[in-house]
Amino acid sequence: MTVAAPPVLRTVALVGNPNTGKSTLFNRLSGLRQRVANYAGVTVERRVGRATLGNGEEIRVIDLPGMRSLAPRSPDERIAVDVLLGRRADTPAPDAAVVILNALHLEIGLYLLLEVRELGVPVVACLNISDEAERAGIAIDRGALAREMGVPVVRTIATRGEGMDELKAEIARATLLPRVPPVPLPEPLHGMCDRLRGAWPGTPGDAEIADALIEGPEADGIPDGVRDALRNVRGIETGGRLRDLVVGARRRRIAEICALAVRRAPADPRRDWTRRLDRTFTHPVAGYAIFLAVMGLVFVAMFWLAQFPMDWIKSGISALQRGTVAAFGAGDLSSLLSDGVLEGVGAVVVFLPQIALLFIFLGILEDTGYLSRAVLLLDRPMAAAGLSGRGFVPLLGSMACAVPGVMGTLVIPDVRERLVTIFVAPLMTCSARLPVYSCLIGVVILGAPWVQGLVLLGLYVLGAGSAFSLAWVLRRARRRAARTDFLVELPPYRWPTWRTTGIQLWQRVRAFLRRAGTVILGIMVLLWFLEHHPRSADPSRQLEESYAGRAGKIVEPALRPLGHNWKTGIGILTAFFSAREVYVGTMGTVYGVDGAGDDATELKERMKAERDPATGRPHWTLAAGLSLMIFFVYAMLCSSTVVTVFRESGSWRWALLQLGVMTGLAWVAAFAVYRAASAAGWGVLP
Amino acid sequence: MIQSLLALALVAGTSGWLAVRAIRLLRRGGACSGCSLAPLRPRARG
Repeated sequence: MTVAAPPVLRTVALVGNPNTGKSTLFNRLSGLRQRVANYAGVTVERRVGRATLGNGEEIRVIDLPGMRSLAPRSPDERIAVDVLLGRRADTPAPDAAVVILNALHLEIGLYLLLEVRELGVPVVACLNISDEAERAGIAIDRGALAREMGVPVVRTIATRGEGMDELKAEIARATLLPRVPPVPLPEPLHGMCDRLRGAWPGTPGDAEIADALIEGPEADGIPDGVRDALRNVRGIETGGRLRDLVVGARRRRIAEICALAVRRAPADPRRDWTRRLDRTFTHPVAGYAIFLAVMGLVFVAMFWLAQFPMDWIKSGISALQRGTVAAFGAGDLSSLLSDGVLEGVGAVVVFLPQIALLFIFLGILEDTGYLSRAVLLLDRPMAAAGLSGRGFVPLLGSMACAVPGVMGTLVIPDVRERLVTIFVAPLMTCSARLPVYSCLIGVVILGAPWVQGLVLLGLYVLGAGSAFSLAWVLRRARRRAARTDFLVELPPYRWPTWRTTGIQLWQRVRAFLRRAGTVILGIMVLLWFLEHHPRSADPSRQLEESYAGRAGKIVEPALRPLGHNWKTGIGILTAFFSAREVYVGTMGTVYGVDGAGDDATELKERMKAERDPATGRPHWTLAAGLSLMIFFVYAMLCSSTVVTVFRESGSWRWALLQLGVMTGLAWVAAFAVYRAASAAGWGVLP
Repeated sequence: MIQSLLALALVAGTSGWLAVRAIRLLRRGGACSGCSLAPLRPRARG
């Protein structure tokens, strides 16, 4: 009996510049049939899916990281090139490549298309985001484009699924075509490529070798054995002449093709409107003022609008606590559930409306197109700090959480610059700091919501300013590298789509609640035990004599100069071993056990009621509150980030140095603020 | 008495679970509240 061999699964790679809608297209093709893992040895996402073509054939689809050209400048681009050339053991060589072009910026995409086509792999060009291009008055003659490039061109709108059938049909045709010999390069380069080919492992394409010649032996991602050969060959030709030969030739060809295939209608009024708005929003002076005003408004609105839902949540949690005590009666389990779990988790969950509002506003700003202008504005101070534009997205990502921010630094090609970005990323204000700031602002800033909002804005600005300043210091101390290119796309202004904002908001709310219901809940259970054991003979000294109290007392000497006692010590310890927002949960349970301000139900009121046993004065003065906020701006109170920095930088030395520097900076800054605020008379009354 | 035992069992179980999470964190790297909270996610991907 013979068993039929399983049909060979053909493979298609999706290639494109960043922001061409490549991932949306991948999702359209593969639906839910996709697997996401990492490429071996690096934290670059490897996304592979299955798609069924019109003829019923099943194919494998690989979504490659976005890249601008085949000259790899960063590890993720290196992987994309390796996959395309079939050089990775963990990924099959593609039978065809789909090059996705953003129809709004055809010239940029055509460069990559020319390069991929030169490799000899069958190519399908996919003209995506066609609807926006047409609205912008850009008419692309697909026939002319296909004729000039020698590849089929499909018009798609991936967000709506338009053009997918035609794309699948072209993919089916392309995967059956054989690879053709790579396109020869101009004569002087041809000879040099031949001389280099022997030193190169595998089977490099001419285009790849030419890019290596242009970029030079110091460029990232060039196989080590090739560097020496490259130095010798480069001794013959200068980079500038080569650049002109290859890049210049390609650019001229692209200009010819665009002249034939692209027609631009006179700017429509909407585009014109966008240009007029851009002149104001990206103005070197007014732009920054508007940006600060917008963010100030966001924070003030956040404080003002969140008051009501926060009150509802507080009442709900109090009712649950009363119900728990009524149901279980007095006892350990009742205490654990009411004083530990509900008190601690409730103290964090109460800030959900503020976090949700912040993300609603940020979602709207992103959707309208304003956030891209903010990116452009912030590129200037970053450039002054010596940070590459490519570091911007990781730093902005760190404003949600430093963990994906640090992982995102992989897009930075220069190793030293990448380390500097990793070093400063945790200084950006992450969403875990928000409950802490909100809690402390509620306790010590007694003004109207707009005053509280502005204080919060100040803390965000301080975090970002400190990150840029520290980067500037570190960059000056180290070798200066050339700034890498950074392109930011400025989409036309548009009304936000409520569906997109709503879906994003739901994902974020769900993530916050999941975390509150898992890790924070677990830590609160553990903390309850540490606060209630060993049992003290004197119930009023229970917290002080508990394991948690003793641990707090150990760190108290370091916190005294900052105006804080062992209770804050417990909060900082739990935050350090888990994450920052746990500080708020810890304070909930600490003040619950301690019974300070017993009549008050709210954590804020309990904290305000605390007195210094030595002086009898309120403990939570403005000076004490400010010093702790400043401490949280700088301190690395997040174990996940420490571990991630270790993994991404490849050494504990860098992670521990960062931990030490940030802790030292936090202590010194908090001490200075406490002293200055006390001297100003803010250390007496809250 | 029963309440105390139940509370202790809950604390012991939670401690074990947290320990497993901590070991996993050290082995596989961090995952934090913000992973799905990022307003603009880093593009080390497709």
